[in-house]
Amino acid sequence: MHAPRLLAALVLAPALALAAAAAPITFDFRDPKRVNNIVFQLDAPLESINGTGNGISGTATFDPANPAAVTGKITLAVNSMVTPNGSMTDHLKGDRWLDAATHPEITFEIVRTENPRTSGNDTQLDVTGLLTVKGVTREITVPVRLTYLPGMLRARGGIDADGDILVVRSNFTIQRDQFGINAGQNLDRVANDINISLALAGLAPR
Amino acid sequence: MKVWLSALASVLRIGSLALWFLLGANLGWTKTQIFETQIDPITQIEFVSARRGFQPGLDLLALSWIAAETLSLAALFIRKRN
Repeated sequence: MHAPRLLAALVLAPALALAAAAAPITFDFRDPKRVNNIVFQLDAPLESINGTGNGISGTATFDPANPAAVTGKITLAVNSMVTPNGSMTDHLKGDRWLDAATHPEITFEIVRTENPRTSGNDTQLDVTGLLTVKGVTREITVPVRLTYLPGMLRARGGIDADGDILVVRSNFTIQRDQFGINAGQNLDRVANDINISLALAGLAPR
Repeated sequence: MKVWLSALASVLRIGSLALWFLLGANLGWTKTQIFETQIDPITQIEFVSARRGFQPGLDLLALSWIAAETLSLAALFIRKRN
């Protein structure tokens, strides 16, 4: 009487497990260890500015079987950005520059990916997305390296659960005049080119 | 008074230079946040943590020297009046 049910269970259980394993995984970039960060560097003729921001949040959906299908949106809280000089940090967040009070977030939303190259758990690809800074949105394409670390969440600490980690790395340059950040002003001290390096860990507890 | 002002100017010059040198000889602006680079062992993410700190830069050194020169000038002025 129960044989058909048992048979069905035996057949369906591995199939469901495989389907679950192959399904896209959603990674949360709000890291309790606060390791996630972006570094920005500006090298003007009279002054070099560097700083960091670690107020990262957002999610990405990643399929280990199809890394190029990654989607998601990452947000940086402008108020988390700091430079080594407190006065400079205040200026950075002021209305002449990033205007943190009116535009508290910088966001990047993936639109499409191209040219994926996968080697083991590493995938390098070109990601095109919508970058919004100070209320101005522009489409940019940046090189991204994704590293999928299955089952490494508990070993990393910070979250007491089994799960996976997706590490996202990228280096690219934007121009501040493209985003209305005091365009054309103070170029001798604040460079137009902003070099950005980001390294983020997305966490997916099971 | 002239001697005191001159001595104070010298102390300011030497003291500010010594402090600047001992706290890292920072050639940039004065820092009130100190950045430290660390590496997350599992993800190998290099991250910068910021902590409150103080490292005088050339701006503070210049201000100290301007103050010292002002004191020296004041000392000269007092000598002339005497």
